[in-house]
Amino acid sequence: MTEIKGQKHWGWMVVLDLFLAGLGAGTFLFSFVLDRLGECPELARIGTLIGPVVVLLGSVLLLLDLGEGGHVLRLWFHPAALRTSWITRGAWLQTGFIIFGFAHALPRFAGFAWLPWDASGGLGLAFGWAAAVLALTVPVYPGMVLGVIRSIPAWNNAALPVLFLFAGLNTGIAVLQLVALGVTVDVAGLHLLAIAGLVLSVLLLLTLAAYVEIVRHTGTTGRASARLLTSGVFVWGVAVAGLVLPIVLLAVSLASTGLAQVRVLGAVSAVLVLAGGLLLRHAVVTSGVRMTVRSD
Amino acid sequence: MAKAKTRKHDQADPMPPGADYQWPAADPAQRGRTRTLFGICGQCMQGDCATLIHMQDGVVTRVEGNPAASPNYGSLCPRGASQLMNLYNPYRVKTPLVRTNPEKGLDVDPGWKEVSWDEAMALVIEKLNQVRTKDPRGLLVMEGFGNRDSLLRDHFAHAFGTPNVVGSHAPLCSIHYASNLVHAGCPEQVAEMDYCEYLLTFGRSLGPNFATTGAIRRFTKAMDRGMKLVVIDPRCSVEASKGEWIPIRPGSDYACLLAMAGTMLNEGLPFDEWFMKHRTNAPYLINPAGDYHRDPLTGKPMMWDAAAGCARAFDAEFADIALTGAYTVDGVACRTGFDLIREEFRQYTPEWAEGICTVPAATIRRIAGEFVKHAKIGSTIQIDGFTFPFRPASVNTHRGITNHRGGTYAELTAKLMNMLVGNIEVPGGCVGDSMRGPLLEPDDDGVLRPQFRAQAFPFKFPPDTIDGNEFYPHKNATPHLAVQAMLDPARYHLDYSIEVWLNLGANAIRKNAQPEKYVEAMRNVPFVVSVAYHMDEPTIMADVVLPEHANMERDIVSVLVPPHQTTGGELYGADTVRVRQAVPALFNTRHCDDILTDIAEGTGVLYGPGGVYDRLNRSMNDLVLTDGFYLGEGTLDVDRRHTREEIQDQLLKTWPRGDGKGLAEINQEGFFRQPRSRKEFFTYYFSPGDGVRHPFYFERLKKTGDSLRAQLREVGIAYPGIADEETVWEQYRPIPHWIENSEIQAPPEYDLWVVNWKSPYHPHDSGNPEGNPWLAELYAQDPFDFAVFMNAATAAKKGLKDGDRVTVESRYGRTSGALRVTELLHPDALGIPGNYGLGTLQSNPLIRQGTFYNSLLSIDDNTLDAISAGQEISPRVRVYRQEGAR
Amino acid sequence: MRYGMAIDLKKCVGCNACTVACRMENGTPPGILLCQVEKYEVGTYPAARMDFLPRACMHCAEPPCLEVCPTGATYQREDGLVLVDPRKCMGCRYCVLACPYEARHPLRRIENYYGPGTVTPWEEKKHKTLTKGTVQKCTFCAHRLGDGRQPACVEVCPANARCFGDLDDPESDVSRVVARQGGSVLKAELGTCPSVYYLNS
Repeated sequence: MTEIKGQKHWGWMVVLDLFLAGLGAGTFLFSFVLDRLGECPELARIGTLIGPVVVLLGSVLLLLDLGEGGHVLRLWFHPAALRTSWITRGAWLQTGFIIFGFAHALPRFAGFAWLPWDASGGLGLAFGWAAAVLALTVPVYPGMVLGVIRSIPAWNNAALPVLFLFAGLNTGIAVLQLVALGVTVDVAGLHLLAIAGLVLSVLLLLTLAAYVEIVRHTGTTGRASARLLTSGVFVWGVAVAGLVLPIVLLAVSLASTGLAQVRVLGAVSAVLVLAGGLLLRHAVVTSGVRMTVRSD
Repeated sequence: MAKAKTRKHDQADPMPPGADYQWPAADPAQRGRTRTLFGICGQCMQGDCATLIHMQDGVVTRVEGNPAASPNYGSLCPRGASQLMNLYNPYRVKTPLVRTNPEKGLDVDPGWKEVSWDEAMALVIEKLNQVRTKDPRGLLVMEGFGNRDSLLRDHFAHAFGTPNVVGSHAPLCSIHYASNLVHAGCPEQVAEMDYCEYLLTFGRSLGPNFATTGAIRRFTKAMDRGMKLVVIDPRCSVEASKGEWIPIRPGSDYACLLAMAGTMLNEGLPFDEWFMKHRTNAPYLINPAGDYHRDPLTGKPMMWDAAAGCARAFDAEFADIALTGAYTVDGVACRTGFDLIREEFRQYTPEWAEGICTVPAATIRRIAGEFVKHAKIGSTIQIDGFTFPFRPASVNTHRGITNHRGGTYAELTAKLMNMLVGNIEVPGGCVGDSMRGPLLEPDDDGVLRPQFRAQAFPFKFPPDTIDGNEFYPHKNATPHLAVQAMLDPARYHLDYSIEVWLNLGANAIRKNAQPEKYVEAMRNVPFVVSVAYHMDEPTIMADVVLPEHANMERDIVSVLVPPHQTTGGELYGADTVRVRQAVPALFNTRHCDDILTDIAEGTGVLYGPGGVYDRLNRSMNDLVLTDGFYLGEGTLDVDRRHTREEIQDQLLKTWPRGDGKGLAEINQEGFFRQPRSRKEFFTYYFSPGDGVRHPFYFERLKKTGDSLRAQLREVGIAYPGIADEETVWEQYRPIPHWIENSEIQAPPEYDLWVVNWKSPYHPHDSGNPEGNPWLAELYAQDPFDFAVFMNAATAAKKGLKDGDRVTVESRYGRTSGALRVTELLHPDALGIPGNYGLGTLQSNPLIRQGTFYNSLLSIDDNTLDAISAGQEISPRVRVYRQEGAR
Repeated sequence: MRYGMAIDLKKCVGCNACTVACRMENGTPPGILLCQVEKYEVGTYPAARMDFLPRACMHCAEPPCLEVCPTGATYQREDGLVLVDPRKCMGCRYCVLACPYEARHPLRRIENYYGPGTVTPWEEKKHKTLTKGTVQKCTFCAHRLGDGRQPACVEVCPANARCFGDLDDPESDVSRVVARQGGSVLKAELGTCPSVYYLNS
């Protein structure tokens, strides 16, 4: 009877959405920045589209999971809930991101030339900025969704939104590193990605440590969650394989100038980061141990 | 051959019919119709609670307690609240069935053929007529808690000419003899909860443990007003959790009771001297043979008058009755019964008991002292203008202590404790749950005339009954003796055999020990008829199945009988009779009494003198006598057929406590409640002062033993089934003395004692609670149910962990289950609650799950209590992890 | 007006009659227990005992489930009841997670008690009142209160452990018993202000 179990109401679909939303937003955001900086134009062009596509995919999964049949449409018909509910807020933010993201990205793709605006000018750029701003919120809001639940100490934690933001951005870089396998990018561009990835991985590692420490010190339920969080999968999968190893790989890639080598190191790191990111979301969601109803 | 072990429902087993049953659409004529019926719950053997059954569009949507009616006043227990799933049970038998496969077994498909009622009844009547012609005793009517609603069952059997009406339910709950002897009331005696201030309870539930509404109401009120409760039990039950728990080694309560009584008798504690002198036979002079010394002139027992210095017949005028002392009367050296008992108990010190029962000697002394102190000896109380002795302390025992060899003595010892404080049938004390009236009548010896089981069954040879009445004259119902006699008639000197087994509300296979013996016996009976609700163990063994209504479909009228767990409270001050209005039958089933009427008519025993109606006219309820129904000679015309409604109407109109209202009125009102003075609740009121003496020295027990022994010698037989006759006769002595039960000297590898308790979901099989999925959902996840329980320290010592699959093995059988480690159990105990497991090929799969405690028990005569014939319920067991299982 | 309940833990015997009565009243399928009794073992042998905690929705004055609801399906009535409008609920289970009392239950499937192959007439009838894909919770039997009835769990309790009434009325039984015995609430530190008080906890 001492078996500890995390919550069972939200499962893999939610995990996938958290993962895909963060990843998509991160991809868009970095692509937009690269585009603004004029770096890796082809990568940036593709990335700005991948972003909203992936977020849309994640949203569909989430909606399939969250709502029975068409009930889920109710999310958009009760704006009053925007005042209190982070799911409503998130739905609107995510929807906004998808619309603006597509609006910004699509004109650069064949078949959408008919759109009366251009990605880099006027309205198109405004869409881009709007999407970029929203992209910063898309990885963060799930942290708020979970964070307001006070009866689950592992979630009710100020570090969680930050954790999700860094994790989202980090996986965004990883996506670009993988896309870079198939488009023309120079070593400088790859190094730029590697630096961003390196910095984010370090930040994420630190946030993660802080997060686990906070969870560990929030009562017995928190400790129970921490025990789930610090299981083998978490330590070896999320922290070591998903962060420490990529840091090493990226550091090595920075020291290298061979395009192929940098590419491969980046891609391997990217796969690890993506896997780690997914495991991280899974660990956080499933380690949501409720406080017992009776006071401890 | 069916093995007596728990089997998980196996994927390979075909699903029983019922799993895919398509319910017919509701009757369109009922659409839009809303009705409320008066009901009486049948989800435990007591059938106490008054209900309201709400129907919409022909469907029962809700059952609730009738807020106006006792004993439940709107409340229900979890089983009562689940009863509509007992009605809507797809595993019910839905139409008459006849077997086509001659091979019988729990897991053998009988190849049922659906037949009409006419065909089925013709078959049954033909067989019954054959057996009646041959020897009517060849009919065995096996009855049980599954159907307590039949008015006609016993009358049919007796009119048919068989004495063999055997209850399938009793050998695990042999609790009657001592109360029938000391209180002259049946079924037993319980604590009176309105006034009790100190309740000491052994091996029993007071209601909460198995959830009976009225008892819970009384319990919570008593606890609320501050009653002190001491529970001596191997397990910390619900009750124990609310009071003081004193853990005890299973099966050893008798030692603890002996030591408590010994402490009260020999360690200077006060006792109720007036009660002992004037209201018991303790001062009677006993001769060296252990019998009353009788006045040579009148033949009456004598007492010593200390003031006059002489002995007189007990009913003479006494200046000072001597309770103690040795006196030579008419040249015979006599001693008072009190002295003899005191002397016997000198050896039963708390230190002696501690070694057997593990309760610390100091605790035994403390509890004995507290009990005496709280009894407030000498105090009185006025109720409705009558002055009663006020004794707000009671010790009560139940099947946990009676169901061992020597168990009757254990209960008698508790009686001695109660009598020492003078609490019998007075407010706050120990009160019977029989009829409330003039029960306390003296016999010729001035001692209470015993009733029911305490009246010895007359000896006859060769024996008349299949279930051993002749050899156990004070026994409770004994299907285990019946089954042994059926398997080996010569051993019990029977000159006939059972040809037809009529099963009605009974499940002797699952409710007793060694189920394989019952299966074998049923297989040997040429013709088995089951009046059945579902495909339970006896039904799958049947040749003909007569499907009966579910509880809610059976209309009845019923007197509210005082309940078992405790008494008092809301039961004071009234007599109540209720009606159950039938929910329309769902299937091609019939009311059991209609089935019996047809059978009686077909076998020619319904009409005329000695027929079923005649017997019904003349019969009184065993428990409540004139508080219950009594038609009276000639009320029903014995020469014509009567409908159930006619009979019910007459029962109500002639109810001795009623005012002549009948079925029409009760159908409007739901129940009749007749007020009555509260003082009449205590039978002391009817025989106050020194009008009657309760037996303190159990001379009658000795007399039964002496007479039985003489009769066995006379017919030249040994006591059947018993290795050493002395082990029987030692239990017929007039003074309780230490008897080792069959388990104390078990081989040491059987290092634990198994204990069983009733659970709120599964106290009796009544109402098929195990197969009710609403309850199954609860028992399966209840941390205190549906597992094998072991004390944490014991488990650690054995290297067993929570969740381990274990095998439990006694010297008589084995079972298995998932281990649950707990702090709520004595380290020497192993707990298996409820009565889960067994089941048949065609039963609800739920019934096949769980740990089958009864399979660990024995029906060996040598393990029985010689007086009640009760079975040992705490056999020694060993427990080990199942290899390869987790 | 604020409906509330007081549950006397000294009286509760853990029989689960309330659990079953609730099911019968509300027609819930297997796995959905709007009312339940948690059972605990307290202490170590021989100073051990059972403890019971009957619980359902606390009908909090500050319900955490209310603020997280993304569609406005959860609402609070003037009389304090916290209810779910099945026409608005999308079944996201956010409230299920937000409720610290495990009082909300997603109805993702409607199963039958005797297995998938057989639907009893009772289930046939009662399951029509349920909306699949919504969240179920205790309503204090709101549908009965209008008729002057008490919640099913209160009426069925053989121990009379539950007392129900208006907490805003100092003369009501429930207010008096809480005032007299000093009831406590579960997880007071969360600031949810439950309307269910426990006595003798």
